[in-house]
Amino acid sequence: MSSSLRVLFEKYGIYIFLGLLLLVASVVSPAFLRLQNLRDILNQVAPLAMVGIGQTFVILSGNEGIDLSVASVMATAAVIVSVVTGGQNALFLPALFVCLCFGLVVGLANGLLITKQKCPPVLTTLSMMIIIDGLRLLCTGGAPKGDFPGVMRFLGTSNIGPFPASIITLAALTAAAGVLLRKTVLGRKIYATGGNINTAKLSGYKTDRILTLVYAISGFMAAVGGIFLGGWIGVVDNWVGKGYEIDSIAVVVMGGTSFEGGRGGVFGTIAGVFIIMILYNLVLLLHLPIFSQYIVKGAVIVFAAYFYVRKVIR
Amino acid sequence: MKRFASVLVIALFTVAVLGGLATEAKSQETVRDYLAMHEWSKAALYSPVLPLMVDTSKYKKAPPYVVAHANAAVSNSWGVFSAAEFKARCEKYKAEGLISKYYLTDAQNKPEKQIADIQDLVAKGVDVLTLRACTEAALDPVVTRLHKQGLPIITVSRSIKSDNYTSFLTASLYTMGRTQGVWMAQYLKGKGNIVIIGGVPGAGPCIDRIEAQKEALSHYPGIKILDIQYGYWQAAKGKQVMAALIQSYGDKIDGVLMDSGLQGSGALEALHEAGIKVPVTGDFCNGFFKRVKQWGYDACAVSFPPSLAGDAVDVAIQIMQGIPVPHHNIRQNCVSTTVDTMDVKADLPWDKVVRMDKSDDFWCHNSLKEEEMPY
Repeated sequence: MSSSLRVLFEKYGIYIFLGLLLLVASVVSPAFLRLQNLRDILNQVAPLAMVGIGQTFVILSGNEGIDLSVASVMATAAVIVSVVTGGQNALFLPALFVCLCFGLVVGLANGLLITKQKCPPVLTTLSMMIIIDGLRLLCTGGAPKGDFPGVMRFLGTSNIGPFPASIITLAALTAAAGVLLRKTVLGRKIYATGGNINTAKLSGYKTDRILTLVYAISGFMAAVGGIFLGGWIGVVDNWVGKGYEIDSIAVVVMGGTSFEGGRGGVFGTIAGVFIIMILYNLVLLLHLPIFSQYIVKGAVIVFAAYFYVRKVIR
Repeated sequence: MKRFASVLVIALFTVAVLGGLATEAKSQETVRDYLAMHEWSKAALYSPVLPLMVDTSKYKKAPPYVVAHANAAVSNSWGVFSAAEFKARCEKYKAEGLISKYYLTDAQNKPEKQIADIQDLVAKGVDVLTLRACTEAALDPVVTRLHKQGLPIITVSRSIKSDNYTSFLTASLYTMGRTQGVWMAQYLKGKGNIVIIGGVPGAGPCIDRIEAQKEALSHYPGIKILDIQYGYWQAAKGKQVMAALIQSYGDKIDGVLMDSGLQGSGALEALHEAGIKVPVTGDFCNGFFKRVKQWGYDACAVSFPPSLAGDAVDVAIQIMQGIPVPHHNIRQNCVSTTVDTMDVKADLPWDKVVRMDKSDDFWCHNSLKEEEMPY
């Protein structure tokens, strides 16, 4: 392989893979390119991608960064909207405000425990997940009351022009995250902290603040994701977003963000989300047993890990 | 005149509100009355053999009794209702002076925790133990040992591997699946394409219900199963799977057979969004009932009642009073339909079961009074 081709493949491998997957999917399943199917996929992409963006910030900041509490935040955000609004549109904005604050507070708590108390991120966010789940079950008595308001259902299922409202929101959030990471001082600081925290400290960066901030962003994005996922499902349930903690990590890794930190970005994550959701969809369109989704997901992650490790060694 | 009109409007409004509330309350009363009349299930009614009765005279003791329920999990809404049924029934007997104390534990679906819970309960001196086992195999040794030591044990809905218990109280998973399958086949007049969306693949209840659905459908050769997928008893997965099945098969789908309304609620969301109206099946999950009513689908629901945990308290009292109890105690699977078929008739009409005022996670087949409900 010529060196320029190799560089191209290494830099844009995930996007090339996504392009190929789209091509293969449209050939093997005629139903894949149907407008409604594409909209279904986009509506499912949006919530996971929103959580994935937050997870990207955390993993990018290095220092064993990981956020396992995202699924609990998603579920709690959806439950808060349902309980607070009772299905009334008029109460959606106050409920949204409460949800986003909740996500931020959980993220800040994670960040402060990790930076100030030096608790390992895995344990901290795992504990946070258990605490939030417990509190939610306690407050709801095992199952939430209320209903999702129409505005929330609109966000999760309706279209603005030809595109789902959720994907338009995702595009705006991705652009904002991309600009923040690539074009601002804060973004550079996050990359620097993830690359080498000691060097970042020596450069005068307040790394504790930066790390706390990325967890706050993750909590915030998880709350946003929970609202969109709840809006898409439409059924009030205590376990909205179950499994998203693992899926969000998977898409970040697939997207090329290094577990070591300091390398990667949100666009790769978004491509990772598309790949995983298209594969999920394809499994069902091709009438394969649904358990194949797990095998496919595992295989893609292993492939991605292998690909990026080779890239680093080289 | 204006004042009279205002008074009239207010009066009419008040009557309407009170009428609405009364209807809701009546709906719950109907379910409770129905359950009270069904100490026996149809399964027992049609059984060709007499039940094997257990002599409980050796356990006979003067009241009050200490009763416990070691629950596998209360983290899902069915478990929450099950726990509420147990509490409500214990409170009733407490008021009558038959129970002095009762305990309820939550094993969080961990067999090792359930074993520890049971040991704690025994140490607290319970007279009779009811339990919903996390797994058949893991709980067998401890339950067997305690039973052989003389503790009366009632297993509820999920039993142990051996039959070393006093009574096993359950409803039939096969009846559920068969009823859903027969209703679908007869609704479609024996001809059509259906998809099956099960719960959690590999989970015992899901396997039994789907096996029974398939057995029932095998008697209707004109019914073709296009696909079998799983919704993991989650609305999100149910919707994801149904949306993809719609894209795959489109108009070919004549019916959707589901073992539970948990994934059924999500599947109905996908069907409704796609504008497809086909018959569906599920269980007594309120989210499923509400959507069927709201969007005018034809449906059949068969319950697996959380009230079993409450019924277990009744059996516990009988045992402590030395009254013989069946070793295998089958309770009623209540059926509700929007349209009856030749063999599947509604025990209760859809409108009498659904609770539009309650959340999606509410379980309609319960024997609780309004004030005893967990939410």
